[in-house]
Amino acid sequence: MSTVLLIARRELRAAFAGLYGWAILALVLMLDGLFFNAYTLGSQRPSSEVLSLFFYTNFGVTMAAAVFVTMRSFAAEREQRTLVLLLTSPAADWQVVLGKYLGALGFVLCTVIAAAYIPAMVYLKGNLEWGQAAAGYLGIGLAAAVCTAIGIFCSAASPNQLAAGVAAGFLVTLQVLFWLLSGISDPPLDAVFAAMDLYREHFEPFQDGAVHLKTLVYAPTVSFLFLLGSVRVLQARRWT
Amino acid sequence: MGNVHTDQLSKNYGAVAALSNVGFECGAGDVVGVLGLNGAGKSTLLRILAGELLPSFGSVHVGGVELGVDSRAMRSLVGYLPEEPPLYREMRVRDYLQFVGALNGVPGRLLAGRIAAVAERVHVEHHLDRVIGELSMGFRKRVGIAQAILHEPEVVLLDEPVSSLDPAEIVGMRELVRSLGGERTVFTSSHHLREIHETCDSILVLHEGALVVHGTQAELGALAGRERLEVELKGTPHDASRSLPAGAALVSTEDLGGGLSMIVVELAEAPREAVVAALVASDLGVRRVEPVRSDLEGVFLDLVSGDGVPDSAGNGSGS
Repeated sequence: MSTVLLIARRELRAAFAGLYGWAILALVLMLDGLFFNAYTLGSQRPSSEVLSLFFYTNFGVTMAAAVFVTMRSFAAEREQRTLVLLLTSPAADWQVVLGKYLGALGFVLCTVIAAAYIPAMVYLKGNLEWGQAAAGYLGIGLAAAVCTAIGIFCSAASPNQLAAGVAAGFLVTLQVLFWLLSGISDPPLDAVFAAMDLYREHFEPFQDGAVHLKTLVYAPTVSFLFLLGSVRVLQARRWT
Repeated sequence: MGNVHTDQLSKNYGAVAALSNVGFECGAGDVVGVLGLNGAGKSTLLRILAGELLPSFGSVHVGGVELGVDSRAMRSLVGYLPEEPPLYREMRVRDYLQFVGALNGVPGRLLAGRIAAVAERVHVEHHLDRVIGELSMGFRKRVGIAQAILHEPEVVLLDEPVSSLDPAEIVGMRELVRSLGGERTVFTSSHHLREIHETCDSILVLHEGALVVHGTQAELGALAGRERLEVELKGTPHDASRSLPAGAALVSTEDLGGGLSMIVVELAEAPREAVVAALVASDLGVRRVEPVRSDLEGVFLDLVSGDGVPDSAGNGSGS
């Protein structure tokens, strides 16, 4: 097994080994269920709108889950003094970062899968559009990839879990509020901010069933940059 | 070049110099004690040797591989136990060792056998299926050593291996550390001078980031002018005193009864052989001659206070 997958598997198992991971999963399911109940149950909305609303709320819940999961990633290991095990192993720093990233992303996607009972209900009781569902889940996956990478970077750069959570929360929130900055900025900054906006520019079309090529470029690029930043942080810490 | 070699090794934390110009060489199989007061740079030295930190200046070679040039290859040659064992508390011991073994490149087909052998060696074979968080500190340290030697590294680094252990665990740990030597180079740091005294072949003394001296315990005792001989003889201490060659002095005497005396001779400048030869030749009925083990604490305190530091201190080469 490659070093990356080895570290990812341990991360994923660790997330489910303690109360913390299960608590996040329970919270995700509770919030998804509450939002679904509040917005759609009992209403006469068409199935496509119900599904769109589900993806809308699931997007926010998944982002929060990514922040809560990743804030522990490096910061908790540093606090518990276990990070040294990885840093003194023959694993390269990029392998450590990628392994932790994939493990955390795996957990976040597990929470997404766990909430799939809601689209399943739409399928059973309504008229599920498979294309919209696939596009929506692709959008959720891409957004989760971005938010998890941001969280990993903040966890690698922060001295403790709380600071990592606050920093990741701020950066993720910033990612979905770029459209506000875009609205009050002059050209060409407005276009730059709009292109960086995670929700309006890069997720909203997916929740309605449209797959945009620019998002397929945006999400891996942003994720890569934050992971590269994480590797640089680890390397820099060896010098300080 | 020895198995571990450092040259002008320096490490700065901002404006603070944690290590400065540390140079030494150690051969394969040595058990090396790293002594120093708090803040002397012991842990920093071990963290650099483990590849966790990179030096600000100077070089580190382990097994001929230089840190910074091929750091991953160097790290694969080293096993490291920090003061706080890096254990995932939620894992079972066996799962943890499997993870660490795979992380360090132990082939899967060898891993089970290697884990069984190492577990037996550190005496955790009956705890392999226990959750690490439920183990006592002594067993956690043992698991920590197991992870450090699982991939059969050339160099094992143990940072304060006996800290937080009870007396019975300390005895076991001492035997374990001692047994690691011979086949691999072992560095162990400790505040317990007795641990170093009991387990190490040679000693590195660090003070305020500088290497004060590197040598065997006997060499350290000699450096501090404290090498002594305990002699049991039939004559009187007065006779013995007159027989001593120049450069040796009688330090203490004891009447053992039955015409026997015990004297302690300090070898200031006279060679040990000359002193023994002189006593035997004087027909005093020498029954036993034994070097007095150095008072390591006194030697150490002399060295870090500068009183006993010779001109060549800090340039000691490996034993």
